[in-house]
Amino acid sequence: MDTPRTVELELIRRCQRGEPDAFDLLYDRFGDVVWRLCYRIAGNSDDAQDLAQDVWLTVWQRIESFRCESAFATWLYRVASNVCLQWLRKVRNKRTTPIDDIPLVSSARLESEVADRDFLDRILTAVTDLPEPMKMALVLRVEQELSYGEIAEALDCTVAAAKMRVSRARALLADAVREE
Amino acid sequence: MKLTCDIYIEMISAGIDGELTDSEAAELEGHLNVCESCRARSDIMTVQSQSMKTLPIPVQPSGLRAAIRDRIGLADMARRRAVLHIRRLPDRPDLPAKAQPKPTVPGPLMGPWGRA
Repeated sequence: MDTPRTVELELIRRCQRGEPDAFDLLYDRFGDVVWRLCYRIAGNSDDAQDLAQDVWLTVWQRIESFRCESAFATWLYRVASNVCLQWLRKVRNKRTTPIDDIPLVSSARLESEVADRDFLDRILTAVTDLPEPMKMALVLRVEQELSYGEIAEALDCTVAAAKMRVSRARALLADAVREE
Repeated sequence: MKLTCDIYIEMISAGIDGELTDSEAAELEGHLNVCESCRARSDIMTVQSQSMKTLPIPVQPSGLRAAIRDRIGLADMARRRAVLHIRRLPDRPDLPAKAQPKPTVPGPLMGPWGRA
């Protein structure tokens, strides 16, 4: 009987043989994961679409190098993270909202503002402005719900470094929206 | 906030992830009870982590998959394969070997399949 792993491996092998139809099946499985990652990293739909195209182009070009020894999702996250980090470095100088300019709110009003769209927008802006490695680690942890081990594999760092990046990112976000 | 407070940032984050041992949680709580700044930061970090999960992400644009296929060259690849198949002509026993029809080979193919 075909297990999900067997089915996935066969799909990967078909992609490695360059069968165009296999791409659609791969996209059916992982298209949404890649889109969510790209959107959260890019912060807007237009850039997210460009980024998603870059990710899938890289995946397709490099899929021959996947040795089927680990889960495909782990390999995919590593490729996607690399592409996203390159993209973030490229647009770093185009940042339009310096983190110091983000409006501050009182922590006393925090509870009532959780559901407030403005508050969410401020978080969104602050996420967009995080330094690249911290941003990637935070998005993989909170948005994609990866374990620290998986984040370490995707970002090619130690588990301790992954934890530190996430904690620093959380602290920076907190500092960006609280009144000091 | 003091410089020494920096060491508690990772503990606050680990607490959000539910990864603190009982003794670590007690140590952190002890610090938060005496450090107003870290308490405020901890509260915000906790609320923010929950809020981040509710940040909106739009559904994929309907044309994205097609754009990616175009970018990769899949549509072109499928077309070339079809052409290659159609143009494979039958042998002509009535002609000498040199005059046998040759299949029309499309130009260089893109992607990993092109190396075959």
